[in-house]
Amino acid sequence: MNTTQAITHHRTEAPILSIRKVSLSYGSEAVLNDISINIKQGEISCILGPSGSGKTTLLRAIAGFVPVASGQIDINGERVSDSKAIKPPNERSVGVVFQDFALFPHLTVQQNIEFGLGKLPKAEKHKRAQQYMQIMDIEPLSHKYPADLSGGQQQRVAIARAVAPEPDLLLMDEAFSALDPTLREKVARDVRQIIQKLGLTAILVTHDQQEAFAFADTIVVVANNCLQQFSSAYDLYHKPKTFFVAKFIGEGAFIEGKAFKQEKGWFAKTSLGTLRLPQRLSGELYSSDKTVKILLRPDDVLHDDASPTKAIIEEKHFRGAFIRYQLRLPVTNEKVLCFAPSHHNHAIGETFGIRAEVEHVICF
Amino acid sequence: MPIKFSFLKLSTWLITGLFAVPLLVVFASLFQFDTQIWTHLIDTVLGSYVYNSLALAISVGLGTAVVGSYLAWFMVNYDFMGKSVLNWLILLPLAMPAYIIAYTYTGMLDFSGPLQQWLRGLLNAPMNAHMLPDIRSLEGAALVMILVLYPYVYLLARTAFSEQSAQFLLVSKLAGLTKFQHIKQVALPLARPSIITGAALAMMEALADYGTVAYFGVNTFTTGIYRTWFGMGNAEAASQLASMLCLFVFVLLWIEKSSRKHHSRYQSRHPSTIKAKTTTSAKSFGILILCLIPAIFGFIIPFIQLAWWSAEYFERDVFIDYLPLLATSLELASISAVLIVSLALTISYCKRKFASRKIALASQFVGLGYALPGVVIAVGVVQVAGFSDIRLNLLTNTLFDWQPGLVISGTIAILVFAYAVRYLSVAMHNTDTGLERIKPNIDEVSASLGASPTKMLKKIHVPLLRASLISAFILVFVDVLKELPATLILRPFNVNTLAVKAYELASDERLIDAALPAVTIVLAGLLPVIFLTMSLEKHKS
Repeated sequence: MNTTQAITHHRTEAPILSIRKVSLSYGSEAVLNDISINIKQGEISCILGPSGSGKTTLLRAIAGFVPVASGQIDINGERVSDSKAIKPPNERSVGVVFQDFALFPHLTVQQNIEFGLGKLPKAEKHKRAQQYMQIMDIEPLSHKYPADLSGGQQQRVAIARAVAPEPDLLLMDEAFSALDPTLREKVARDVRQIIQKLGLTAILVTHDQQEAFAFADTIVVVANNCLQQFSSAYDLYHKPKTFFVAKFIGEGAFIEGKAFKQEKGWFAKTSLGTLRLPQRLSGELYSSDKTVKILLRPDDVLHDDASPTKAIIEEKHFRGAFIRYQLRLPVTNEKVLCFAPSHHNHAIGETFGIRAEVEHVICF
Repeated sequence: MPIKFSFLKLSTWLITGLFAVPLLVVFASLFQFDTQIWTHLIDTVLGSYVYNSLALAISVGLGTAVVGSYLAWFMVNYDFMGKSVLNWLILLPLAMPAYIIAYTYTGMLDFSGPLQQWLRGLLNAPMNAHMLPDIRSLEGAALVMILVLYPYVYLLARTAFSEQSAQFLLVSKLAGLTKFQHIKQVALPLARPSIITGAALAMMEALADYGTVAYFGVNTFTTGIYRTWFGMGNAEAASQLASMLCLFVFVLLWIEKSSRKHHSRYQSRHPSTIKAKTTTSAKSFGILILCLIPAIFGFIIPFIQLAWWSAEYFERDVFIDYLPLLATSLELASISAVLIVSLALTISYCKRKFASRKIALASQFVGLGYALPGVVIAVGVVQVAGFSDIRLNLLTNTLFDWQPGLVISGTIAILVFAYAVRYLSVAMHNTDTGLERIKPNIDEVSASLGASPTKMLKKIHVPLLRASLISAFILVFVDVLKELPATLILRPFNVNTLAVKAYELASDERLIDAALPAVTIVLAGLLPVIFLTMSLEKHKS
């Protein structure tokens, strides 16, 4: 018992995947520059980014399908990719679930799972396939062909095929996007549970933040050819490090403010009153009279009839318990979002009073 | 209650009913089993017919499968110099009827032909030495048919390979498979239904062939039927042979249909298509040569030879003989094509308007004509025409004491009827897909906008259908122009077509004189190939 714990403990120390200063290019075009990430044993992570951000290319580099232009990738302490050499995919202990599942239509579920088991003896392959079909709850389907399965069942087969060789690292490329949107979040949570049960380390590539939030412990945001932020979902939302992340994650709008210094620290004068500015993460200082961009989440803007600031309603979306208003501020014409309780029902074109109540100001 | 009368429905039933008669006559003889005839056939020729026909069909099936698949694999997976030209070249043998390439190679490889003479000179062999195996053999027939029929497999296999998800290769890589193992375990099994479909079509063509096997002196079902009927005057035996050949064809049809079903199951739902990759220049040169070989031997060499013969020995006399031949052929082909396309259009409209299962089944049955060899259809048509003539004469004799003679048999009309039975489904395939594109709600939209039926036809249907009608016309036109066995059997006296003349001259060992009609057929055959290639290119972009 103690030894097992010791080993587990030891393994959690060293990252299972270590990406250092990796740059990727497609032809002569740079796709991603200077990416560094460490993923620990048992960690479930997500690469999130808009389409064309190079997130799939990063996943393919980890799998060994594409070479790196510079930098190194280590899996389980072993060098698998650098600018000089690339270890073939089958020798780097990774499993991959592809976007369209890529199940072989001419093989049964069982044969598909056995396909990935390489040179194991036949009986062993059979046993292993049975074992993973049991885990994925697809045993009754073992002799069916992919064409006879539903999307969700196909995905379970694809996951079983990827994890049956017992890889150190499970890579999933937009693995939920082929599913019905209403199913996605639930399936993502189910899959997360299975991965945890198996004690696997997994990385999912996605463009859908809700999916990323439902699935991952940590999220890698890539955009504009570089790593934007690598942190938990909570920190991405509440402590975005870059302007891109602030804009990309969650809902919100930016208003402008003029920075000025008082005894207590730095403040900004905005059309919604004076807001206290935080210390910048970069350590960079503010300078007087410089304009800053301040992020206002819809829950930072409160409906308040007593407030002197009256905003005009431009759009409204009924969401049940609350209404999401898009408002235009007087004078500056800036736009903000506001979640107002459902009973504050106003028509488009009307005005109501608002005030800002921001616990931690995010500004750039 | 008034009976709703539809002219469209009536004409469709008339057409399908009339066209079904010769097919039914042939199928019916399957059940008029005559022990005496069969004992005789088994004792004499049947063994060699069965053996030769099957050996020919199987070797053509295997050969086209191999050639068509490797061409498709390279064309889908690699980018190499000259690929855009190859896109065209690979399909050109489709324009070359097997009987024409057969006699061209005979002329080139013959005992006294240029190649053997050159070889004798090179090796200092005596003048009577055979330097090459005789091409006029079963093996030779199989070889020339593979050379012109491989595009059937190529076209289908190419689609199958290019539809395979690019991620399959990655899955194989993850499992540690080599490229060769990937082809064997994944790519080929996935393309197998398409390859089998293409090979089945090629085998049907091989079974239907008359010109090549007759010229090479290989005894198969088609030559047997021809000889039994027209050489020995034994109509019953010929019919029985024809119906037996039909059985073989039906087996192939069944294989083809069931593979198509598989094919649709194997299509991926979210295809992330394969990107062709470049390779080293040495390798890409090797691929280019491999892909060129079938086109060189299937089209370029025989075409150059034919063109050279036609040009070198061109005389005024030849040309004077040639002109009426050309006129007859063009006339016959265009009349048939216009008629066949109109009939097909009528049936297609009827199918669209009434969506009746019975009409669909009837049109499917009539469509079987394309699968049957020309010889078989000729046998069916001759029987129907002969029977009608006899009845007609009996009738007029009793009524008016007068006999008009053979008014149906031995006319151009009966020949055109046979063409129609054979090629109706070619035209129908085009008119059906053309009309499919005009969704019924388009009619409703134009009616709701106040357009009269004539205006709708003129402004909407005709422009939308034009491309399908043109391609239907060209396909039927060229098929009729190339047709040999049915024309040979059914043509009236003194009516000669390019195909018949080319075949007759070649059979009389006047290969060079046969070149001009032959080259004309090949040039006409290029038209649909050009259309096909253009539509493939359009599809790709």
